[in-house]
Amino acid sequence: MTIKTNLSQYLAVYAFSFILCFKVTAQQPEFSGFSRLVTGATIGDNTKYEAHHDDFTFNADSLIGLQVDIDIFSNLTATAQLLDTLNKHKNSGLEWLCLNYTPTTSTNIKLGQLRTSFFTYSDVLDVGYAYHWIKPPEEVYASFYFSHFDGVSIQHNIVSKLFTIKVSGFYGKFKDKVSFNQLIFEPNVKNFTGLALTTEFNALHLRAAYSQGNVSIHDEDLAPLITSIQQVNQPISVNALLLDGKMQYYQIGLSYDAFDYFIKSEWINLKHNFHLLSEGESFYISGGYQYEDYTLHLTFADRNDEYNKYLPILTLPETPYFIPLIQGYNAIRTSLTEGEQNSWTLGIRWDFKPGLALKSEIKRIDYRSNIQINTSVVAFALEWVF
Amino acid sequence: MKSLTKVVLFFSFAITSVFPQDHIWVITQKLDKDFTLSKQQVRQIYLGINIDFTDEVTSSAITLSRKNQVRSQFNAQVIGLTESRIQSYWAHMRFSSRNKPPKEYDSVSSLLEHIKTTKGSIGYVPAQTVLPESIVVIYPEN
Repeated sequence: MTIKTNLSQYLAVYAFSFILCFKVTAQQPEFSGFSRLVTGATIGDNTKYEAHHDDFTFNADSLIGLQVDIDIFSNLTATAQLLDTLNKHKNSGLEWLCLNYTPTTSTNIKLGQLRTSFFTYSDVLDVGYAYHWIKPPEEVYASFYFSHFDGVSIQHNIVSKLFTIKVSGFYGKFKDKVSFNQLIFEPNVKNFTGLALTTEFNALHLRAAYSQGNVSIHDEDLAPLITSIQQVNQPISVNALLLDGKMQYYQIGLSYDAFDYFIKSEWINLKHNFHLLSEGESFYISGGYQYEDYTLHLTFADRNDEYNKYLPILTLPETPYFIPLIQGYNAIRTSLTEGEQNSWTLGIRWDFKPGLALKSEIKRIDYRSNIQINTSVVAFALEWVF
Repeated sequence: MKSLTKVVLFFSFAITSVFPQDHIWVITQKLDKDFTLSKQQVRQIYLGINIDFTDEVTSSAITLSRKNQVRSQFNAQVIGLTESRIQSYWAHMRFSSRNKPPKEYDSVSSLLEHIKTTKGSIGYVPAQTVLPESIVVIYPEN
């Protein structure tokens, strides 16, 4: 395991030094954790989907997390959360490290390495026990997002006799690896800000959120091509190949949680200035019914990827000297294909013991682009919180 | 226990007009100022958002342990969620560092004892429970 950023190291030292200074008043550390054992396989063909092949493996989503909470004062706590996973697209290490200050009953401020909250389940994607699916719909949750950032967040709650309003905002930065469309990026995100508004009226919940950040990605594979195009004086194409600009996320979530059934939905829209990454809209709608300890659920999810900014054409003569460069550039242009994916998921969750749940689900995925892929995935999971 | 909860829930809707919201009382220590809570407020307090009763006293929920049937009644009548979905909710809150679940007590008597000695602490008991003089019912509103 590694601590991922220098700031996190400073904060870790700071937080725990602070706790040691006040060890007389601090309560005993409280340990808790979560774990998930997930396996799945594609059925009917050899198509690979996400990390699933036609054989059952446990590596893709299985993980274990450990959290420690320390009450320093009645209104100040420190939290650290460590994660370990075998998934090579996911980092093991420190996920949370924050001080949690509650100056008034209705206001809470967090400082440190925090989980992002782009969407409803973004901050607990690793805690499978917290939701009914084995994996929240990829059409929404596999968007270009990162799981944590260094910064500050504030939440204010207004509770009336009839309804509750929660307003939260955050500011920070991020520099780490991100997996998107099966590729690994290492973005440098500055001025990462966001605002979320949640209203609750009995069983009805509405969440609207907006997040944005200035994202800069240095891609080693693209660097030689960019240098070559720079040398032949094609500034428009050079700028189009640079991954540097603003990324914006919009989200609306609506859910109704009755005693033994629920309906949940989320719609998101991703917008940015990049020519090399797709933008698009995604949504899901999910319903479930609980009988005794069993929850049966059905979800439809949809995602449309589109490129609103096409790579400009190189204005170079097709001479033998330039042809390799033109071909390399055009290969990138033709690889940027728009696509549409939708899926149906039918699943069951069995809460057989307090803190333990078994899940099973089957998912049918249809992907249409310049190629068409139809595949089905069956998955099983054991979720545990302790 | 789940079946019992559903029966309780069914009858709580079916005979509302005859016995309005009287299966559970939410209680707290008597304060200088009289007040009552709405169902929405009790629900929010039990889902982790506290409110100020007075300038000095803030709500702090305590609950009965899972083996206690009164808890199932409370989940059905006031929270409106099954026990397993409440546990999922608390997994979300705890591991996103937002809130922790209420402290649990094994019996109504131990819960009453805590409320008697802790200002702002709120709990629930079966309706018509004989309460000490220092404890008042704050839900349902009359």
